[in-house]
Amino acid sequence: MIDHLFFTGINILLAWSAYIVLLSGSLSFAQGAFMAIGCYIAGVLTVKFGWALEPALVVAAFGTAFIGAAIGYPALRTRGLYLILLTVGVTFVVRVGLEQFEYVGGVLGFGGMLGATVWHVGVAVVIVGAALCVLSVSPWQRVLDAIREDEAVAESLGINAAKVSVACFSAGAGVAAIAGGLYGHYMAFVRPEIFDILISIFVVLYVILGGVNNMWGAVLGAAILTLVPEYVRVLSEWRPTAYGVVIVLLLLFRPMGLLTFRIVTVRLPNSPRETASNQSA
Amino acid sequence: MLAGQIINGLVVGSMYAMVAVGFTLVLGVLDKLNFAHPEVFMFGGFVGFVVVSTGVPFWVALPAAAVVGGILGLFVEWVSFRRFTGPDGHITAALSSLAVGLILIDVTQKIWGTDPVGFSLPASISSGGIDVAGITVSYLQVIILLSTLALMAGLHFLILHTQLGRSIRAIAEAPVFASLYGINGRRVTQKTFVVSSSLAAIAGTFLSFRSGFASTEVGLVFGLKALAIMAIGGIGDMRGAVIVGLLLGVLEALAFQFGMGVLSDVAVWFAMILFLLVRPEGLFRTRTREGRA
Amino acid sequence: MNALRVLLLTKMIGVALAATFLLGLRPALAEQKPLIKIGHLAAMSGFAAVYGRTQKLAIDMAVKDVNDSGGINGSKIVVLTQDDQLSPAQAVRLYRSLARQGVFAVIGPMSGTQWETVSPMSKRMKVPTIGVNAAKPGITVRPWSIRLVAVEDTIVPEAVGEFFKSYPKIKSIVIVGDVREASSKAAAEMYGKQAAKHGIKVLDTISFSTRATDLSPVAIKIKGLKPDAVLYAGFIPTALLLSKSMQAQGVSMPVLGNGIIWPGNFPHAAGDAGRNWHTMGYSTNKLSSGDAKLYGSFAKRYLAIAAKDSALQQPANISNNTVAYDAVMLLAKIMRKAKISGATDIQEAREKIKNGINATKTYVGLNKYRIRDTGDAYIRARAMRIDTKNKVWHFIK
Repeated sequence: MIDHLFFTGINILLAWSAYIVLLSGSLSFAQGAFMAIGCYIAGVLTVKFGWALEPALVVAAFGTAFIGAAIGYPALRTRGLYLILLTVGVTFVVRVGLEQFEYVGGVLGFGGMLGATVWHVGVAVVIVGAALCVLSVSPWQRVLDAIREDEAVAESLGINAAKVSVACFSAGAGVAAIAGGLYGHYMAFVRPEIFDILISIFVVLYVILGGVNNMWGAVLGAAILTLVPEYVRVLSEWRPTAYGVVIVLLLLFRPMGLLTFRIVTVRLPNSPRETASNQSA
Repeated sequence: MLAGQIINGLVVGSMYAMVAVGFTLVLGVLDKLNFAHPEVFMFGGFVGFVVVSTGVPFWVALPAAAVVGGILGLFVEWVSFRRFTGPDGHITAALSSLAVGLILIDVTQKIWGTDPVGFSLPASISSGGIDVAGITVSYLQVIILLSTLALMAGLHFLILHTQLGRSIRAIAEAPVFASLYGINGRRVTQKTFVVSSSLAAIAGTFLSFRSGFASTEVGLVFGLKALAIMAIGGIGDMRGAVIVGLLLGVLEALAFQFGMGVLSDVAVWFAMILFLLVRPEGLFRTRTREGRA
Repeated sequence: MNALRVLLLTKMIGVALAATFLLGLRPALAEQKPLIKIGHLAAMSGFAAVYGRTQKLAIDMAVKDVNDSGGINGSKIVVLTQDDQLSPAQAVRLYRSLARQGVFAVIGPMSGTQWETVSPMSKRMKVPTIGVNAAKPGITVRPWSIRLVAVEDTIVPEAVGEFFKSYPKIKSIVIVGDVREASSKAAAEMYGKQAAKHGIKVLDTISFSTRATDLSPVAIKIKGLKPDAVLYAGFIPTALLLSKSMQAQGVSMPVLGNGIIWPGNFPHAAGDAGRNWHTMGYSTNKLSSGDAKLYGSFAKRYLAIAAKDSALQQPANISNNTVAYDAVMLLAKIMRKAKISGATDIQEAREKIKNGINATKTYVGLNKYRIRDTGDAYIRARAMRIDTKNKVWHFIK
């Protein structure tokens, strides 16, 4: 039971990390890579330098966010499908890179990190969730909506779309890093092969199937896709087919995902952005 | 040896080219990603296995694969793409096709198991061959190369010189106007899917002939590479897909030759990243729909 | 309520109470001793499903044998098999779940990454764990876990030595290894050292990637280098690719593959292209290093049961599923000696099993084992080649 909660929490964090990037209109398949980077940074700090888990996680999050910004800055100049493919490429390249990195064991893996508990995950989920809640009722939500809807128009309203997009990409990387660090310190042993392209694909699925319009969609998608296969083990023989059929049916009847509502944004009176967004809505 | 590696690389590349061309055809015409495409490719391998192990002459597998691929293509179009035509429909249709792909993998595994299933072609074509540039190019490889060239030429002819081709191009350019001219969008879409999926299935059969076994794992690997090929060659650009596909085959062969074989299957991603940063519109500066206001 | 009714009610309650008491007593009277539960972690679905299924086949045979011969101090054993889909996270979860269910010991999990994750856990959770698959050396954490499989730091030198001895004309080799996979990378490095030890020249080391879909460039390179033999380390799909490519290029020197290609369907799938391929292991469908009579009857039974599985290519390849059988039998032997039964306290039983395992220095079952200080077993490794007609491995000599 505790294990279920732990892994569900990790998947929720990962789903949110993809959701944050999606807020600015980009679909990222690199969350698996950032999870790996975060896991390794945190692991190196605790195992090789004797740090405690919590500060290691914080450093890992910021470090990965920085790397995310460094990757995002050139990457986000491309658009649409090209951007998606670029993020896929990043995942592959990061995995190969980690395999070549003998300091962290390379292909053979890296172990010894311990100490993550369900409480850590719970706290992380609460913190990130609260941040997203605050975001959704703040003017920034409107800014992100504007960029997502039509970037050219947003630019004409004085929004620096590039900066905001990179910020989102970077934040998403940081959240994925936290998930990765927690995962590593629970399993106590990781290899680069665990951080496969499939993780990135599943993370995107969590968000899209749960509902892309608000933060709870990611939670629902992650929770359902993590827990249902566990409790319906009867289906495990036919699991991929069951998954496939469910997805097809879901998409036929609820193409925007399970939760389609948008969180109502609070109308702050007389805010200049608020007026401008009203006009473009 | 180097020349031999290059020639061998071209044969491998021709299979990449066939998969990528089909992918980019649907993407270019309908602006939709068909994630079931790689799994149709995978299934083509099993068509090859079935045909050869029932003792029928091996070449029968090719039209068989084309037919099976076409049927699967129609099915995918009907299930995953017909309903989702709105602007948000891209992601939904793509996901739906991904799901269909998953189901296809599972069904295939239920029928033939999860291990690769081996089979052998008559030794005369798989072992016998022409010795050129220090390597043996088996008759099978010659057949694959020639067939691919023929199919690509046929596709080229189809797109440029037939009614169907004109309709496809019209829809790719401007779908709204195409319907004004009386082009039946649905029919053309279906035919596009049939062509694309048949090519994929045939490529899959070629791969299984070459490898000597059919496996359910090849779809993911080839599918991802095909995406990278499209990104480099330009989305919707068939010429780009073919050329980049061939080049990739050669690039991977050279990676082995120069001791970097470990990177062979990520070479394409390095190349793609480099390209996208340097020349985001693709090899031939293809204008995608996104490029138009 | 009048007095009569009260009396009636009291009588009814009394009868009910008595009945409950007696009924409660009855199971206790007719009670068998409770079952002894043993956990089993394996991949039962996904691409490795066939390995898990065949392993379960061997385990079920062992369970039947133990129970048919009277069980363990009056208790029958039952093995709870959980499908971990070869995922480390699932293995962790299911291991904990099995521990909570009160298993006395766990057999598995299968992959190297999983074992490396679970073995330290066995120490933290104090559950005896026996590994029966992964062969990478140095990853077993004593005293709560051991591996009954032989690991590559003994298998590779022995098998390579036998290979070189069987083909004395070998003076030069090429090593071909999957360096993106831990076990194969380690094996490839060991090949290099063994070649040096035998004075054999390594012309080149060609690396490739697990997900490669074409190895013809490797075959071409080998053709150009003209070694006397090839040493391969990697999985079955890439072995198949290499064998067919080599056949297509007309290169037919002997190839020695590592232990990963021993289980599974390589002999079937490779067909004629596998003519010159070898592997390393410790038993064939006919012979092993252990008790010959026991092995003979086991093999016959195993093959008969496997013949009914339509998804398996026949004849089935017994390979290392013998170790899973022996693991169950070893546990049974230890439990009998320590007077454990289903009624024993769980922690006490686990402690006793742990002690019994650590006291075991040798064991002869289907294979002959010597337990090393590292917590892994030593089984004499042999080199084997393919009998292409019957599609099975057989010892070189």
